[in-house]
Amino acid sequence: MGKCKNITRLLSDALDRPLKTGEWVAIRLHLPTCSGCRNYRKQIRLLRVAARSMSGIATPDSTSGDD
Amino acid sequence: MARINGPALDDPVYLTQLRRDLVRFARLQLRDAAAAEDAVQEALAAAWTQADRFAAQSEHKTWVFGILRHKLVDTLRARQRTVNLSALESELDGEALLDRELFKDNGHWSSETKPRPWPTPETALRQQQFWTLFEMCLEHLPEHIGRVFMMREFLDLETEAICAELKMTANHCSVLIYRARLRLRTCLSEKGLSREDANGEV
Repeated sequence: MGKCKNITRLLSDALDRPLKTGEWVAIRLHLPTCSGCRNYRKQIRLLRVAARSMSGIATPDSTSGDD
Repeated sequence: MARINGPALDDPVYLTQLRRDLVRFARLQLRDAAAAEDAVQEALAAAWTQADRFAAQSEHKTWVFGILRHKLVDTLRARQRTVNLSALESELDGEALLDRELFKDNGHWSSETKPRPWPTPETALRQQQFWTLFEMCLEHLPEHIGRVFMMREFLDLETEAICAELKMTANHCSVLIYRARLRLRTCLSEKGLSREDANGEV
């Protein structure tokens, strides 16, 4: 589960559903070791903020995280 | 021109800009210029009757976009295009190609494609360049991937509602949204979105 390919999928899912404990653990173990996935996570959050801004949906706290 | 006690909703500059934003938004969703114009026209007409309620242009804009989103959901629903599963499968097969570009055989980022820092959201969203690239990359998304992503992020539907609507499994839905995000961030990076300073994760 510690591969970037899987972690990127989980990071995407995390924006749409509550993750299971095991999934969070996989992410938390992986992120400190991988700048690519840390950047990816920031980027997909930015995509969400951009999409919502474009469609007039208010996003008061979507740039803040769960870290 | 501007009324003293309310927002300047009859301000031609504001209305022109608003209309342009609405049309652009509707086109991305519907991929049909005429249908997009119709939806925007209806949304503006509906919004106009309530124009007195708003204290500011920004509130009005949020309201009109809300109306438009409802219209777009209705329009998409009326099309009743359920997803052709074999077309969906072949679209997802195509994704394996992108994966081979992005990831090494061991499942880690390949060194050329490893995500590099972008500007902060505050900076990026203020750049015209970002919005131009964002739109261009959205238009390049494969059909199903683009459609599900738009329903989730632009029309603000929950994943469960999207799956039910398109008669897809939850897994298909979340894979498609994942592929959209992966493609969009890859596309934006390839088109040159990056951060020059050294604060990022490198």
